[in-house]
Amino acid sequence: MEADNSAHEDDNAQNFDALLDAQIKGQVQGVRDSTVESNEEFTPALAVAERIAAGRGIVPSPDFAQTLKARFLELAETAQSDQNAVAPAAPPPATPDRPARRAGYIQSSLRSRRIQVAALAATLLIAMGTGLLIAAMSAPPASPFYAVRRLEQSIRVQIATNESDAARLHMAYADQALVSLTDAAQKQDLERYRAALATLVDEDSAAATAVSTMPPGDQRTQLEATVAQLRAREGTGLRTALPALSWHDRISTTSALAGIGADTLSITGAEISKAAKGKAGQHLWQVTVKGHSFQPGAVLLVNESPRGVVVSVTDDLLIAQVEDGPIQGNASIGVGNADNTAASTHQIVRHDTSDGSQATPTATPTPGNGGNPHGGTPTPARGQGGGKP
Amino acid sequence: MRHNDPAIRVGLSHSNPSLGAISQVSAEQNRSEDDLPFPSILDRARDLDKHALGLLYERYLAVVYRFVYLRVGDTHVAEDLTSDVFFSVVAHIQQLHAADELPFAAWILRIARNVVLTHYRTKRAQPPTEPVSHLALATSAEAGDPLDIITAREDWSAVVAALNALTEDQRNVVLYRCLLGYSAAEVGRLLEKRPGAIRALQFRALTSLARLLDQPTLPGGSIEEQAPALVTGKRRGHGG
Repeated sequence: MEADNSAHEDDNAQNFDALLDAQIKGQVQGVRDSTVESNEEFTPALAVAERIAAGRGIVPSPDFAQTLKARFLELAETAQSDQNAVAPAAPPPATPDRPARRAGYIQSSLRSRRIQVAALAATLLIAMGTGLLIAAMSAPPASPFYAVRRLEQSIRVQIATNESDAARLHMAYADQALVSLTDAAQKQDLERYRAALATLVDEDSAAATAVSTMPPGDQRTQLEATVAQLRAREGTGLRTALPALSWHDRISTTSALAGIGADTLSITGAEISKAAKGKAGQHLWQVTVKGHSFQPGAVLLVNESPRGVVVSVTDDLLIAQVEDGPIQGNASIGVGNADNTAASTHQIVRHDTSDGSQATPTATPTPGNGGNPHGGTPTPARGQGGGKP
Repeated sequence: MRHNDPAIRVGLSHSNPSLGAISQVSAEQNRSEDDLPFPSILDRARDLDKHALGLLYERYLAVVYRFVYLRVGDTHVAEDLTSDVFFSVVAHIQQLHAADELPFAAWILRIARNVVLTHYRTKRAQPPTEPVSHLALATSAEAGDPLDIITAREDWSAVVAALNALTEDQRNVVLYRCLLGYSAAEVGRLLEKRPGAIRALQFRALTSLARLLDQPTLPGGSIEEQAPALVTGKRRGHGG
């Protein structure tokens, strides 16, 4: 009995498949007729199949298709240049002649250094196990293996054969970080965003340093143009990410924008002074922030949160009034622009405060210095022995 | 059948009909636009050749997007996940051993499946947000009757929710067969199953779907609420 049922089910499945095939190939009318004649129980299933097949009309929007294609091919190009950069160099001449002795000595030193780095890589490989290292090589920012991935990238830079290859590697890593950063911002994964931003800042800066140390010539000009293109993409990516971020991350991101040469908001200092008494007998504090690129609609930030009422904004001066109590000594004062860029400073001069003193707390760099906002570990620029690029 | 032409109803276009049904273009499958045999395109793509990768992208973008869209039912999420699939292609194509188109299709669709599963796993770990059931499909050409547009959105939403109530195998067979247009034998090769098993799975799956779509409300309601079934691949008590 069970065997009969199973055979019947097989037959049904086979008949149904034949009808479905005909339907998929567009012989709809034939299918309908034969369905009615042969087995009406197939009709609902065939109707559902047709309904799903209507999904073949779904195509991505042309804008998305074009943008993704550009990013896809760009990623392929950076992956390829990454590979080329670590390809083994041509072997040096077997017997260098006398005038080339010094060059030979330098090459030999470099080779010896490369051997050391290769030995380090081999040790790492043995210590971690190949599987683990392969997993680490694709680890996203902020994941447990990301530090290993950065170490692996650092080793690759160290064994690059010349400055141009090292610059290409730095650019490739910056590009990868940009992709991660954009994705993290879209998904509001702030931890990954911060790690990716730190890598982006480090690698961008290292790429620019590597290019600047190259001798003038066509290759340097070409790489300078590539850095400029990379920075244009970075600028777009960072500005697109801004609205999804907290004020704290907007400040870091604005700092990164300034670091890549974008003309963006920056602060040179702030002053706090006691103004008149408020309606409820409270003191009003006037906060004056100096800098540039302040926009209409900008807000005052105290400790990275909006506070007070802005009474006047020009391109280089923002004046706001804060009613609810004095601003503490170690506070930060900042400005958030309408385009979501933000900057802050600890360079605060106090006038006429409650104890009558004037104090300037310890300075913290104003965004715009291009420094590393998150303390990430950069891949060392060549010739800097693993230090910050 | 309420669906006549989703391209009109939902504002989607047929800009690349060659990607509509792969099995119907089998005669051209081994020839690219440049008349390169597919294995040569793959060889060059493995070397990260931009032209070859561009050809693969053009050929598979709509296939991947369609597949992902019918799994998540939201344009923005589908775009994000499709991007992830293609980035993954760049990262891993050098390890690909496929020598022809069908194994390549199996590979890229496996990436797409994994990306979707990861998306649902991550989503399940996050606090619930806006339900997806009412979110829009692409509506770029929404010049038509607003009622038609709303009806089309609800139609796709229901289809996606019903698909999510199937088992992983059933869902894949239905999508590969009906949406992507592969034959039962090809689906068998793509999913490493016998054609007989594929035929049985598709029959049960489509019968279950018909029953589910006939119900006024799907079990679990929204697409999001169906997601656990999608992640675990567990059956939810209907056919299969």
